[in-house]
Amino acid sequence: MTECQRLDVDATHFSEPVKRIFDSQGTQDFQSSVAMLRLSSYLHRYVQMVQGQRIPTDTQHPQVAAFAQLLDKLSELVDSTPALAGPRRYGNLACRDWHAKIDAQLPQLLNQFVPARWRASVVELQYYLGNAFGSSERLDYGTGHELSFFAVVCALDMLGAWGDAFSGPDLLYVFDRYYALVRKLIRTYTLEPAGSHGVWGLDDHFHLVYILGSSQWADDRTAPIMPQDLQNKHAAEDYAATNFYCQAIAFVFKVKSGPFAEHSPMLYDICRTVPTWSKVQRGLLRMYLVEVLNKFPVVQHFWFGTGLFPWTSAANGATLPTYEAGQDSATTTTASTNATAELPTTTTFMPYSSSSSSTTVPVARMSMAPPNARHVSRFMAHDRLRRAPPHPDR
Amino acid sequence: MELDKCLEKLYAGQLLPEPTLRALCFKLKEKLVKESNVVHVSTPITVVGDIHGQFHDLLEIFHIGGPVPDTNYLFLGDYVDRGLYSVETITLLIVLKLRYPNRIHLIRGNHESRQITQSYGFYTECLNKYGGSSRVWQYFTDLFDYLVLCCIIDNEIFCVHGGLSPNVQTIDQIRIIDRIREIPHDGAMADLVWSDPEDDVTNREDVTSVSSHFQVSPRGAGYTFGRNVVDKFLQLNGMSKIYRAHQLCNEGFQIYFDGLVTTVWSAPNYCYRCGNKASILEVYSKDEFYFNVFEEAPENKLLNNSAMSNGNFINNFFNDGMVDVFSDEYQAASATSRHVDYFL
Repeated sequence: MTECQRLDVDATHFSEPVKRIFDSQGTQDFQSSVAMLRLSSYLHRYVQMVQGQRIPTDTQHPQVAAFAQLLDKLSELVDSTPALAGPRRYGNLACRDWHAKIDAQLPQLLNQFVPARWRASVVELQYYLGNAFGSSERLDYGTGHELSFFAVVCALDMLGAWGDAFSGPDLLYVFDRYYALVRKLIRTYTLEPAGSHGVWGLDDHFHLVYILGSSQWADDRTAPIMPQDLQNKHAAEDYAATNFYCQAIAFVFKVKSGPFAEHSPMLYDICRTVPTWSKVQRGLLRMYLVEVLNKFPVVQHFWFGTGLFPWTSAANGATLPTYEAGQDSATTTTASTNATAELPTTTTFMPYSSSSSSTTVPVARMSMAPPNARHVSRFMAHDRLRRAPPHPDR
Repeated sequence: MELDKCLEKLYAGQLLPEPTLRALCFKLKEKLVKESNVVHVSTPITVVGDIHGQFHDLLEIFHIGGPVPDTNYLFLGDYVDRGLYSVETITLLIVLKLRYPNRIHLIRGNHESRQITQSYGFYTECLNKYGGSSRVWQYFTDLFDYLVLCCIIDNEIFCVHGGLSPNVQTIDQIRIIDRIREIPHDGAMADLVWSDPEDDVTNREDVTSVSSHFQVSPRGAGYTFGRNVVDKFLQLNGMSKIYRAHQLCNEGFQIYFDGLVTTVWSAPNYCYRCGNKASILEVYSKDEFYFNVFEEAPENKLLNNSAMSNGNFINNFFNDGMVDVFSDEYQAASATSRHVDYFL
């Protein structure tokens, strides 16, 4: 169980991802899904892989280099799709043109990148990668899109597309190229912060980047600076090239005005009151499970295919409840596609488990009811979206 | 406590004690319950868009637009969430409404809701500023249920937070909504606070169809609506235009459909980063109005009662020692003992 288990090529059926999370119940079901199990297992694996590593400036890894080239192509498309002049409400409409261009090119780019025997997975990969750069309709970007890119990296790992020698620096390199592209998009097209919590959130757009950055320094003895040193913004700039935490804070300083304590009180409090990077890392991971992976506004946009991130129970491999548009209650029968029925139970593997006692992954989580849940639920009888699914642009 | 005394404290950026807030919210509910869903007001009046807890900018609005009661104000909702001072903002507006009920009108926005405020900051802020108790948040959100849904200026101009609804053809249909409740996920009441106008149909083949029909909104609630929908609504109800808020605008306002719909946005440099201007719309009559555009308040320093003085923002996620975040104990504990609702 200790080594990385790959998806079994012959036993896995891939299909176009569909929306499964329509309300808080769906969010709860997601917590016990195979999809969640895989995401959290890889998250745990990756934060260990990057410990003690710096973001490299280059890579010798052939697949990583090839993937970076793919991202470069997308970045070149930004250059050839400049922001439109003239009045606009806020986000620049040229971003929609960029999305149209990448949507047209992604299948081909992914087919070039993914090994031939895994071509069937492109239908799923394409959804997650296409969703990783913000919403073309709303012209925004947030942690849900960041999660979607994380899903791409995990998926390629599951497929074995990274090869065997995929190391911490390789992972950092992939994310570095991704974040560079996203920041370019945010600034070029003035993307709105998707569902930002304003000053009450960690960051308007990102969360994972802070986890990766604090994980790089989670071995506190070798970290060049301590969290408290980041009260000085020059420290962030000094390490922005090699550490994601500093890189993310440097970007905040670049785009925000006003005192640090006021525009980003949570980041400020972390560097002022959390003594070590390992504690920062733990806190951010906890937050991520609660505030990103268990928040309906975020995960409602995470869709599910049958191969990479299936909507099946991690406990017994059964299909989780699915809702039909316009229907009042859940149909707990298996999903209508015959593909899911054939899904083998072997898909509930846990990659990278049990390397230490601390890697147990929750099978199910408690629901996150507010303290006065009874009071609130009276008013939330209508807490269910009944919508005709998919946006045409997805 | 005397209302004027409250105002004095609030203008100085101080918080009111919890029992006072409770009494204020109760008093205002008593008044609002008598109001119709649709309130009629007259010019001259100044229309204000989203504030989102940017208290310094609210004071700036009273500075450039004139103080209450010298100027009449119509606020289009979204007083709370995201900004650092939602509590100060909504408290000041509540007290002003009680003190000068005919000079200031408050419409409900989509953020005046239990569900939304639990995710986007107001709930956290109440806990931070009132000793970890959610009672204050309950007083406020219970009051939100009583806020009116729309205003009509001079029998001519329809004002709402979001926009139109496929379930609402006539304004009388709004009058019969049972509004005193949490904002539902769908239906007329949800659409009024969630919908957006959409005029980016120039390169669509189905222009007429898009313009004549409601489309599902990418926000996940409400609809988008085009010019023909607006034309039909205005004609049927004898209105001349619609004022609404709900969407960030780079210039502080945005005009749709040759002026039939106007968005007013009143939170400058939104979230300390958007670099946008803000505006208030001074309406003198149907055809005489002026966008008073302004930028971030110069005096933007932290208020004395700031919540950040004691590391309150992060305690629950960062303070309990060597806990394994993937363990079931953590999972259970984080669900039950969590005081602070953080980030998306």
